[in-house]
Amino acid sequence: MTGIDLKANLISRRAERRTVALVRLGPIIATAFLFRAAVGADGTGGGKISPVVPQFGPAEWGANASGPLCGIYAACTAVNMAGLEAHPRDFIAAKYVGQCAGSSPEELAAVVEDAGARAQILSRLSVFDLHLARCPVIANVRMTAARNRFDHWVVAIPSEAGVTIFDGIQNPYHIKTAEFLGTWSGIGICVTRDQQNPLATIWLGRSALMLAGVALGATFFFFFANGVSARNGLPRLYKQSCGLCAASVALAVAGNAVFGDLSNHAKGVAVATAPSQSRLYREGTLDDVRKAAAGADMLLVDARREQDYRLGTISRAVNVPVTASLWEIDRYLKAIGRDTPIVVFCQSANCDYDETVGAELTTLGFTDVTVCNEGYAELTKSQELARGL
Amino acid sequence: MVVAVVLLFSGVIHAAQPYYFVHTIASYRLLPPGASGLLGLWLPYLQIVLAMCIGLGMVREAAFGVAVVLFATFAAVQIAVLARGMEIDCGCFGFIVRVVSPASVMLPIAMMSASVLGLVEARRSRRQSSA
Repeated sequence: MTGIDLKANLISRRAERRTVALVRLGPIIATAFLFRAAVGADGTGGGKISPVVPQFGPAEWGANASGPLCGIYAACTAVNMAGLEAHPRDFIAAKYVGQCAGSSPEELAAVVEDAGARAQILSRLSVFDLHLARCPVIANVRMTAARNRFDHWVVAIPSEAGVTIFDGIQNPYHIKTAEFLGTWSGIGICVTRDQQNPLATIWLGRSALMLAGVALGATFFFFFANGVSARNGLPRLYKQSCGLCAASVALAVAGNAVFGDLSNHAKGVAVATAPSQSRLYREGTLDDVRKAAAGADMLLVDARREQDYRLGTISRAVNVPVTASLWEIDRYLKAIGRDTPIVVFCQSANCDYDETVGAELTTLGFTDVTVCNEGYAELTKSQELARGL
Repeated sequence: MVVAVVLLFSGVIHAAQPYYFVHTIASYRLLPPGASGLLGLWLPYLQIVLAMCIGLGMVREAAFGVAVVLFATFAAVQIAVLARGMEIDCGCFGFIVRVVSPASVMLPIAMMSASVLGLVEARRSRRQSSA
């Protein structure tokens, strides 16, 4: 028997012994695991098996071209949709991106026109106008639902299921009309290839709708307000006022069927009111972060930017950067139950990214969100101190 | 007539972008989200109906009465915002960004005064016609 054969024999015997040991120890390990699950990791008991938060890998954040170049990306996407060719790298210049915050509507119109297409800046647009325009519209939206400023540009195409959004270089996605309306300022840039004028179509549609509205309003009015009568005094005034309110309710139902999205009203309201409802989360401390880092039934969210997260984070923390849009976060956390306890932190006590992400999470319907009043820096410092002691 | 034009202009603008109006109402931080949502979808149409009634001269007394209550409420909420030291968009005409200020409070106060005059005049003309 050669040395090589001896070595192979030894390895195979070791593997055999390991298999036998595993078979013998298997039931013991399984029993111990079940016992641990039943009494809890801390051994305090309770007999309740905690729901385990599914583990998921890092997302590719930032593909929505957040930052000052979002307008350039949106303009080039719209130009390409119109059948011409444009690439964002050809338009990265002060002429097109005048401020750190990004491009103005006029600068984006210049991008479109320099790429050979026609741009029309329109304001006070409705979703009805988007349907009428029949061209790609660069829409001015809020980057995240929790923000108050309209600081982002996307291309919005209305569809039967809602609105299709083309945001930077990421794949297009669909959102409900109400959700889109909740983030849209009503400013849009219509992009067409030739001398086609979407404004004429929009005004024609608006006029037809206005006539229909007046006819409908007059019908409601005669039915509710004028039909109610009493001889004199307060009852007459009271009844007529009630009639006016009833007529307006009926008209509102009809009008919102055209301009709103009544079937997804709750989602629209959640997105529209998010900046004012940013306190739906609780404030927590570093103890909450430590608890979330230790427990499998909680989700620990690092709200810092992706590059900071990659440099180092707390164990078990997943990254939901402050720049992520509401829809990106929704897709990323799809598998997580809405009642899962979530603890959000960012760099330090002076950082407010965690508050923004916390507000986004509550907008998405997560009911148990805690935002830590300190952050990664404080936690690292306390750990160093503990090691030093 | 000025009251009718202001109500119609404001109503049509807000009706076209209902969730922007909901966003504006919520920014005043006076109502819960659900109430802001309902109010945002209904209030523009009340303004349109009032404008139609005043403009076309139908049930003017009731229309002016409701308009007085409406403008008084608008003025009161803006004064409440000023008292709390908040800096928010007025939202008076949809997407025209105008921060709530003493000047912006003057618009609903002026409209309320005009509506009171309209109400008095409508009541006087009704009494004359019934006499």
